[in-house]
Amino acid sequence: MNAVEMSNFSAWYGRKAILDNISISFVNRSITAIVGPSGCGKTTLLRSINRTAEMEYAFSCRGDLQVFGKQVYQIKEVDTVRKQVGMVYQIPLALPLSIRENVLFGPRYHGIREQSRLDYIVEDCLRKVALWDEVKDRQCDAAGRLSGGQKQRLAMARVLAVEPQVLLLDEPCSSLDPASTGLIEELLTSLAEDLCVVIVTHNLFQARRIARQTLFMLDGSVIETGPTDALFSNPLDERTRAFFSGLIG
Amino acid sequence: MFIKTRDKSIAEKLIVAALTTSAIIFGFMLIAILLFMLQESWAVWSEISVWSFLSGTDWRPVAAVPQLGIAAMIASTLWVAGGSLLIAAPLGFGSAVFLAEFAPFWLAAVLRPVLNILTGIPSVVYGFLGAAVLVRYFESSFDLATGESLFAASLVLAIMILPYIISNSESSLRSVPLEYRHAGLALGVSRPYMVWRILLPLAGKGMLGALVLALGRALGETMAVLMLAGNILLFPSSWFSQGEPLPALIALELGSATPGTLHYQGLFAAGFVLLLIVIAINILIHALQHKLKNEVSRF
Amino acid sequence: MNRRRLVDYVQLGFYWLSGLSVLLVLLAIIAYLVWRGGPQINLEFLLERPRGTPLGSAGGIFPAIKGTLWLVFWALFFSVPSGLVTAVFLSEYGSRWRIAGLLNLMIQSMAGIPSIITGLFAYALGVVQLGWGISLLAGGLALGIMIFPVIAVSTRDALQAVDNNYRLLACSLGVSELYALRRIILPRAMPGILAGILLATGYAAGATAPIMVTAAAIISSSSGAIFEPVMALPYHLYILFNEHISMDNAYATALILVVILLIINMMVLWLRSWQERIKQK
Ligand SMILES: Nc1ncnc2c1ncn2[C@@H]1O[C@H](COP(=O)(O)OP(=O)(O)OP(=O)(O)O)[C@@H](O)[C@H]1O
Ligand SMILES: [Mg+2]
Repeated sequence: MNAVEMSNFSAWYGRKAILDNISISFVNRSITAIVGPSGCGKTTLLRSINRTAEMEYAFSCRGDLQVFGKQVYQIKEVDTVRKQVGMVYQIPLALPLSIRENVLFGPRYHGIREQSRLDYIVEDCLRKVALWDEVKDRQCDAAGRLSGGQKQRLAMARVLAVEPQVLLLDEPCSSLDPASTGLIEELLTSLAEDLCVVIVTHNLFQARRIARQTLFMLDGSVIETGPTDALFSNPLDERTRAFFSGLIG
Repeated sequence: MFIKTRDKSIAEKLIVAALTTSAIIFGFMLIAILLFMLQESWAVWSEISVWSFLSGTDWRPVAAVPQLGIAAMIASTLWVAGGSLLIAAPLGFGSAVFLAEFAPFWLAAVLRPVLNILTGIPSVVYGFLGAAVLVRYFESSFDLATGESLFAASLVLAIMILPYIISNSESSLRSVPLEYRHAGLALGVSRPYMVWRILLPLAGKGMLGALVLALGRALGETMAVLMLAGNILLFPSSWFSQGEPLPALIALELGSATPGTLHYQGLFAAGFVLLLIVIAINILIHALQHKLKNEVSRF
Repeated sequence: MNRRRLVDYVQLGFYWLSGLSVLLVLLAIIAYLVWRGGPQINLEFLLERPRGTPLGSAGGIFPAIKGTLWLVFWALFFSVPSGLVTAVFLSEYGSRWRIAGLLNLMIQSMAGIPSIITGLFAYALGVVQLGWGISLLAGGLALGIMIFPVIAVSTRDALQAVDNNYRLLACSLGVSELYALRRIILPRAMPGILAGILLATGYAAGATAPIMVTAAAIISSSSGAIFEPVMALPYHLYILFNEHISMDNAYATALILVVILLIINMMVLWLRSWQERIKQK
C-alpha cells in the first residue's frame, strides 16, 4: 500500500505557484529520495504533506493528498496529521528546553506520564540517532548548546519519540560529518522496515545509497520518478540527465 | 504503535474560544468608551447644537441660564500643544540626528537610557518643577503678577514630549538604507551636508509622524497644563496669556459637577471632543505609517 | 568653500548641543530634586502619617506610598489578564481572523487616549453608575484601562519576536498551539512581557489625572478597603504644592516618586537587554 498519494496537487504562496499539478506516491516501508535544484519546491512539498505549509502567510493548495487512504486536507484536527507525519527540518534548531525535554516534548503532550516509560523513550530515541553516548550524562543541559549536527540528530529523536508513520526529512545530513551521516543512513534504512521515509537531499550519492525510489523535481513539477538505479543510470528526460551531470542547479 | 494521538481536549477548545471572545471584547473597549462618552454627553448634543458648543466662548454651566461653549478651551489646548511642538521639534530633530549620525558610541549608549528615563518621569513632577521653578523665574525676572501662561505650559510640555520625538525620529533616520549614506559620502561631501541634503529629506515623513505622535500626547496631557496654564476661562489672546486647556477643565470641574446636570454632561462632551481629536490623530499616524511602508518598497 | 565649512560647523554644533541638552535636562531635574528634597527624606518621612497644620506640612507620606501600591495592584488586576489574553490572541490566533487588523488599530489608538479621559470614563462608570463613589476600586479601574493597551501591545510584540521556527517545530510534533505556547513561546517571551508589565506599572504609579477624579483623597489612611478613597504619591505632591502646604515636603515627595520610577525604568531596560541576549542564543 502507498503511504502517501498525491494527485493533481498544486500549492501557492500568495499568487505564486510553488507546486504545479503533482501526482506521485510514496511507498510504505521504503525510502524515497527527492532531488532537485534549490528553490524548486521540495520543502514546500514536504510541508504540504504534514500540513505545516499552511502556517505560512497566504498558503493555499488544491488537489488530492492522501496519507494511508485518508484525505489529509479534509481532516479537521491538523494535530493528528502532524503526529502521524513526522518531519525533520532543514535548519538545525533545538526547542529552548533541556535535551531530555526536547525528546519528551511530544510524548508528554500525548499523555505519557510514567517515569519509567519516559526514561525508556529518551534513551531509545537518543540511541537510535546515535546521540545517547554523547549526551547521556548531560541530559538536563540546555539543548541550545549542542553542535549543529547534534541538534539535527536531536530533532530526529524528537520526531521519532511521537512514533510517526511517515517520516519526512529535509536535508537531514547537510550539517553532519561522514560518520554520523553513515549512522543516520543506517537508522533510516532500519526505520524503513516499518515506516515510509521520504528524504530530500542534495547529495546524489546518498540518494543512491539508501533510496529505493528517487524523484526529480524542477520548478514545482515532478519531472521524473522511478527506481533509483534506473533513474540514475538511464534517465528518460533530458532535464534529469542534465541535473545529474551537474548542468542544472 | 504505543503513543496515540491525543485529541484536543474539550477544555482546550473552550480555552481557545474564551481567549478569542474575550480578546475581541477587550479590543472593542475603545468603541465602548466612545459610545459611553457619547451617551453621557447626549443631552449637550441634542439640546445645544454641536456648532454652538464648539464655537461658544462662554462656559457658565451653573448659571441660571447655563452657557456651554468650549471654544476658549479648544484654543488653549491648541496653543499649548502646538507651541510645545514648535519648541520641541528643532531640539528633538537635532538630538535625533545627533544620536543617529554623530554621537560617539558610548555617548549614544548613555543617551538612549536617558530618553527612556525621561519618558518615565511622571507628568505631575514635570508640572511641579515647571510651576515651582520656571513660573517663579518668569515672575521675578519679568516682573509679572503671575508667571503662569500658555507659554510656560508649552515649555514644560516640550520637555515632556522631547524624548518621544527623539526616539521616533531616530528610528526613522536609521531606517534610511545605508547605500544612500554611502552614495552621499562617496561624492566627497561633508557629513553634515549629507545629512541635510540626503538623510533628512528621506526620513522626513517618518519624522513628521514622530511629531504627530507627540502632538497626540501633548493635546491630552493634563497635570502639566493644569499646574502651569493659569486656569482662566478666557479666550487666549496670545501665547503669553493664560488659559485652561480641555484636560485641565475636566480635571478641575468633574468633582464638583452633579451627575445628570448639564454641567456634568458638558464635561463629557468636552472629553468626547478631545477624544475624537486624539483618535483622529492616531488614525492619521496609522495611515501615514502605511503610506511610508509603500514608499520604501517602491524604491 | 569657506562658507560651506562654516555652515557645516554650525550644523554640527547644533546637533551636539541638542543631543547634550537632553542629558542636561535629566541631570538638572535629578540634581535639583536631590538638592531641594534630599534633606527632608529620612525614615520618619517614609513611615509616618502626614501631620502638622495644615496637614502635610510635617510628618511623612506613608499612606500615600501605601495608597499608590494599592492603586497599582488594582490597576494590574484589571489590565494584566485582559492585556495578556488580547496579546496572545493577536499574536497567535489573530492571523486567521479578519478582525485582528481592526483590533490592532483600536488597541494602538487606545494607547493614545489621554489619561484624563480614562479617568472621566471610570468616573462615570465606577464612581457614578456602579455607585462605588470616589474609591480605590474606581482609581484602579481608571489606571487599568489606561495601561491595558501598553501591556497588550508590549506583550504582543514580545510574543511576535519569538522565532517562528519554534512554533513550526512544536506544531510538527502534533501538539496543540496552546501547549506550544505554554511550554515554548511564553517562557521565551517572558522577559519582554515582564518588561512591558513593569513599564505599565511605572505609568500607573506616576499617573495623576485619572486618580485625581476617581480615587484620590487629600488625607486618608489608605487601608486598602476598595470602596474608600486613598492617598497617592503623585496626587499628594500636587496637593502639597497647589494648596501651598509645604514646598520642602513637595520636593521630597517628588524626589521619592522620581526615584521609584527610575528604579522601575532601570529594571525595564535590564529586562529588555536580557530578552535581547536570549534572542541571540
Ligand atoms: N513562506 C513563503 N512565502 C512565499 N514564498 C515562499 C515561502 N517559502 C518558500 N517560498 C518560495 O517557494 C519556492 C520553493 O521553496 P522551497 O523552500 O520549497 O524550495 P526548496 O526546493 O526546498 O529549496 P532548497 O533546496 O534551497 O531548500 C521558492 O521560490 C521560495 O522562494
Ligand atoms: Mg528546502
